[in-house]
Amino acid sequence: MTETADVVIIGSGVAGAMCAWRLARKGVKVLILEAGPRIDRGQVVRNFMATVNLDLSGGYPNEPWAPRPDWSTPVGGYFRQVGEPIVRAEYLRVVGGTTWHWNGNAIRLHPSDFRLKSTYGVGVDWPITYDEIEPYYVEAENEMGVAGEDGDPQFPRSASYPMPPLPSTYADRIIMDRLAPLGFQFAARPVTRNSRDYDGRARCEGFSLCAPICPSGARYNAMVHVEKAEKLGVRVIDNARVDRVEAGPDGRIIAAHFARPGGETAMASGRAFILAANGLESPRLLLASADDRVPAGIANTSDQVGRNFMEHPAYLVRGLMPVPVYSGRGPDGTVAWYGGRDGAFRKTRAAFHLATGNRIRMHDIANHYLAEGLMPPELDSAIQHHAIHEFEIDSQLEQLPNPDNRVTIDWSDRDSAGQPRMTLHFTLSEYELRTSAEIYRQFDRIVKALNCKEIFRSDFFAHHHLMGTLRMGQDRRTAVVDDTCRAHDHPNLFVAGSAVFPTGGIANPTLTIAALALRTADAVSVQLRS
Amino acid sequence: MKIRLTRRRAITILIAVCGGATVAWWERAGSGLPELELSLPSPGILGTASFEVFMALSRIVLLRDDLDRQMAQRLFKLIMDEPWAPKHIHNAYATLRAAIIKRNKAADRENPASLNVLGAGEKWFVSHLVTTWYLGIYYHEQQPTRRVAYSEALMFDAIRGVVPIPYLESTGFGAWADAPPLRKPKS
Repeated sequence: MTETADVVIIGSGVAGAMCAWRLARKGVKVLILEAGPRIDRGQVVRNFMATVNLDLSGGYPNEPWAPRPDWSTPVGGYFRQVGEPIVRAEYLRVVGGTTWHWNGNAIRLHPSDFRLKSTYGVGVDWPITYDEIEPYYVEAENEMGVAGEDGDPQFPRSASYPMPPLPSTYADRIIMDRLAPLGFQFAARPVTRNSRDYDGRARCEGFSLCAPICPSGARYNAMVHVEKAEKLGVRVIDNARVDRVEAGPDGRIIAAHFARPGGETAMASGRAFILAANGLESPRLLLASADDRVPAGIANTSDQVGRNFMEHPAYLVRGLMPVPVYSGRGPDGTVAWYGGRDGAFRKTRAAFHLATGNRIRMHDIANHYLAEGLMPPELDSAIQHHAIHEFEIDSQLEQLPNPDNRVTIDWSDRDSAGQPRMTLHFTLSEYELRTSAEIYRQFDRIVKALNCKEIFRSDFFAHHHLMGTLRMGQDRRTAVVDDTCRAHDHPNLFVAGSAVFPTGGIANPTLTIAALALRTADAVSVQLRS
Repeated sequence: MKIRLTRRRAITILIAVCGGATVAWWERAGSGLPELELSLPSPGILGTASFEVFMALSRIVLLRDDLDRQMAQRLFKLIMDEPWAPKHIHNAYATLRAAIIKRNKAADRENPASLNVLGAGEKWFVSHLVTTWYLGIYYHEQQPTRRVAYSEALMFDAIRGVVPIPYLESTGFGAWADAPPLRKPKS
């Protein structure tokens, strides 16, 4: 069986959904193939209340025909890792993708992030500038609905945010006040959480969590644009896992071969293909598509497919404040400190930012005091005291591209879908480790200034921001796609998603993914017309 | 204000053996909460455990008389799948019941389960029971870990009305900018 469309999109997360919607508005016939199932918000909420898996993905399906990692997957379970520290990548394979459980942080990359090599002599430059992507940032912010505060001189804007910022939480107000004397000027985070009714979605009502799911839908997810695209005629086939992309003799992609849960197979053909999975699944698919015609895999004559994987390394600190802060009321953290995102220090160490958390960790808190042997009523008092006094400050670091940080596949070891298991090769460089040490120093200052009892300081963890692996660049020897995100090797194959990022800055990638997806869709549209 | 059981005054222990039932009332001194009423049925035959005995034991160790009955039934069913459950329920309850009846003194104000009257096995069992009631998750020896309750889990009593229960409650737009009125824990 063969499905046909003008454009076949692989993946229905924010990148695929934005591309599909944009192209459909231009009259292009689009087909989306999504490996995982379609899910219902109410059901996911019920799942989370019924599960014992307390990580970000616990309430979402993990189907054998579309498996995925999650926080509780043993290391080496879904993918193997060579090197340290361990990256516990977490993402979803469902219609709408991982934006179901993202936090809604919609931060632009800094203008310097696009010129890292030119400005600071490290990393690489993007083939496009901030000014070139800026109009697409504006459009993405309007489409997703970003609540933010105008006026940051570091980010020239051609238009205001579509919504004013959310009111800061009580906890954030206290933290901001107490850290200001240290020079930390916290600012409102740009977030895709509605501060007023917007685009048919109600304003945030403060359900005490944005991740792993917003119960009300006030926080954007890609289903908004999946559904908008479907209204324009886009067809979405769920439970359709693409196992191979096939190139013809002239280098053009001629088919995406996919499998259904029962094992039946089919193919989709089109004039153009957009690969919009994520920073791990996209390179895996291209590598797994190797055949006699493309022995190194699709789009891989440069041997760059899978290389330059980047995460946002992170560390956090938790403590008990001397006064109640009532974390868990309202949306997740509403403010962040962006003072460490750019400067001459980037010649030698990574940028970073700090952000407040506003989660209520009832299970962990209760479990802690139960393990101490407390009984009612002391137990209740201890839980309450802890719950209302706890604060959290998180960090997010830049990671430089490193060709040895890469994804490879192993056909001798298969996952539950029969696909080759991935190996992630990952290490941190001195560039990142110098900032890790700097963050710990800042945590010391913060704990002292807050006069709090520190209860936890994390080692490295990662923010599930899977970047690089199919990077963008004009030199086909060092990049997989060009400045329009079209594969150097295949004139009708485009890539959407954070896999194309040459550098990652410290901005959560989703807004940039959306902006680039809109830009790529325009390039696809132009190519189709020509 | 932090509430300690040492501030709880047991003003009356009324022993009224009526058809095998013993009833005790505990005043929650200083808590502003209504007094606690404990039904103390007969422990029954050694090695057996009825649901009513399980409930009575739960009320004693949790210091609550308003436990969710549906959660209790789910929990009882799971616990009774454990081979050691009937013995532990019976023994723990019989021991605590006797201790409650015996200590008809205002000086005895602790959680009965904190009294040094339980043997090691029963002490562990009571801890297991309290953990499950608080977390709403049963760590089963014979079967996979499973959830028996969400919002009924007693850990949420500590924040009820102060911080929304995730997934279920909200503050309303913008109300998160201010401190909520603080309520005391329930037990």
